[in-house]
Amino acid sequence: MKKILYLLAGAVCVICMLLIFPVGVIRASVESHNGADGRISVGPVSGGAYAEQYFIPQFRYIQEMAIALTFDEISDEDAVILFAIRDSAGEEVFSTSLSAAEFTSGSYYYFPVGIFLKKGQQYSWTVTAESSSAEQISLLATSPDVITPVENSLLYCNGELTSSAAVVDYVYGILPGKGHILIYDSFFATMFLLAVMGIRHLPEKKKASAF
Amino acid sequence: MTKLSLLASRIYQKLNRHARALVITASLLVTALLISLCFNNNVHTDEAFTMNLIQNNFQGIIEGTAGDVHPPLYYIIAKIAALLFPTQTYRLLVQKIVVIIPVTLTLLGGGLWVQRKTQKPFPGLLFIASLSFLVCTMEYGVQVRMYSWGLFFVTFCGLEAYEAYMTGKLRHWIFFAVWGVGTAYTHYFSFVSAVVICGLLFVALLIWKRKQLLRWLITVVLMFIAYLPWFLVLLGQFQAVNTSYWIPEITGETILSYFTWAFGTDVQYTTVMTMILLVAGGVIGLISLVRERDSLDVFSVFCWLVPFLTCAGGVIVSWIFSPIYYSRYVYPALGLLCVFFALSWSHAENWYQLVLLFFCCTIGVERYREAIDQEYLELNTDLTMAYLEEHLQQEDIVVYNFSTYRLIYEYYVDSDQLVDLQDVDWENLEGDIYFFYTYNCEQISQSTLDAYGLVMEDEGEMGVEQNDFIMYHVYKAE
Repeated sequence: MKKILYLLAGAVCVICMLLIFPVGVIRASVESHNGADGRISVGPVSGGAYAEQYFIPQFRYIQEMAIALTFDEISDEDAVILFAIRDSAGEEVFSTSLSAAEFTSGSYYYFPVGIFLKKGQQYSWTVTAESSSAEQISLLATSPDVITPVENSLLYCNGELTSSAAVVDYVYGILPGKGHILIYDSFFATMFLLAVMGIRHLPEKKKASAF
Repeated sequence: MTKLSLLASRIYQKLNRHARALVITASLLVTALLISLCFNNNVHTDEAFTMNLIQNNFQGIIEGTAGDVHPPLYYIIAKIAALLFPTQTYRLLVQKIVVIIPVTLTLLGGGLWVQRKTQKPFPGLLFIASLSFLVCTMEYGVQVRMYSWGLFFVTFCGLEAYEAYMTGKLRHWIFFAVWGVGTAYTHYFSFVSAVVICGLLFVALLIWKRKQLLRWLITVVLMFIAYLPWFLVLLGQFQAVNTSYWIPEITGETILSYFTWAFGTDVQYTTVMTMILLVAGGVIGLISLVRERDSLDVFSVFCWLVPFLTCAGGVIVSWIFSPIYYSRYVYPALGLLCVFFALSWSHAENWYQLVLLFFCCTIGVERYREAIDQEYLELNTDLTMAYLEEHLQQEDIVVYNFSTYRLIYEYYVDSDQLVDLQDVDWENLEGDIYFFYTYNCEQISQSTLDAYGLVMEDEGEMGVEQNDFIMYHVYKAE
């Protein structure tokens, strides 16, 4: 019985260690955004129009992203913002529908992404608003000729090239560093050895002959 | 017995013989780490307050601290150190050493005490490792504030309470009173911890040693008499704090943040890991308490109760009156939490205590790395000082737009040369202006520049601790 418990504790410990590395269930957030650059509105992205931002991810896993829209007021409560990421072949790798009512004009709006991309390869994301009302919704972008953050390259609005870049925050999830992995693994080892200590102190099963 | 276990047993015997040396060495090593964090010129608001306050004489210090929200003992100690080492260049270093000394004494005294009581080599080291690495000593052990002195007083007050209870000797009662009064004169929440210790000692005496209750009563009365001179000031300060204070309202989220403040690092879930170890240690300690009914195990539980009740007391008072409790106020009581940690785990097998030590050290490496970042790498202070040293002349002024930080700027720049943007006499400017532009605060308007024929040049991003700003050079156009 004790042997089984030892094996079980050991297996749990190893699985936990593997989940930290290489699986990466715990990831550190790294943000890349536009900082305090000037702001202009480009677009619109409503009424059938859209904006397309090309970008090259700096790390493999994007946890979440933030974009910023500008508008006076959105009267249509059911209005949605459609967001999609495509690879260089134009194939959609991620898409989501966001409630426009949750956006605040001129401010970042964060939403979960949770996809793995190929580091260094070019992708593009598009944003378009679907609303029954006629309000104009635009995308917030940097001042002309300011292309930030480093991921961003060309920004197209309805197929036309602009000289700005979208105001965006790419939030990556990166694997913990060696020092962090050491802390996690030593904790799991500590817990495993605690279990070993506990199992050792468990009373032995009495033999039937004792009765 | 196998060869391996024989060898382990021999090593253990040898370590046990040198247990005191191990504790002393570990304490000195941690002290060396803390000292290595002191060679900078960074102060934040509260540290700037200390540095400014100790420029007064003793009367001025007592009046100054009475007008603030803290008792005076730490500032008096800091002033004595400043008088003993009257250096302008290294004045901050002197003050940082002043706050490291009580940490070293706590590590040394606490470590040796735990080692002596348990008669094992590792629990003393566990106390040192947990106090140095599992809680935020790397930060608060070098802050030019009263917290490290509070840690020293509260820890020793607790240990002496145990000794007074166990032996009943007069000297332990005297030291208990001395450390208790020192605690009360250092920080108000250390005072709360001292009250909790007195209360727990009373409970223990009431249950197990009623004959000693009279001694307890005499000691407590003497402690109160010793504290009486400051008690009236305390009441006045409480009134002032009750009407307006900066501490935000306490919510469930705030209470959770107390744990991340104490145990958190940049490594995610450090708080959870530490809490698991504390709880597991507590369970082992309780099992031992139930089985053996040893007085040291009861004391261990009381050690846990001190920070818990200090924190709970602060939260409850904040809910009843107005928010007066903040996470860092429990720091002085964390020494006793680490005594609890070490005593609880002293019941585990020796090899497991070594495993725990290793885990504490891995966290310690991370804490030290973060402390190095905080003290040396994430700051623009040196850049700012070098720039001012090169450019700032006698007739020039330094203008700032973030009034809250005047206290900090005064540490670096002569106060006669420091002017709030609101108070600049534009018509009678004699020299140039060096403008600390803090983001999202008021900027010098173009119309002002035009009206007085001034030019403003961006000199780049600079700053001091916790305050990044853009340095602008403003001067008269040719």
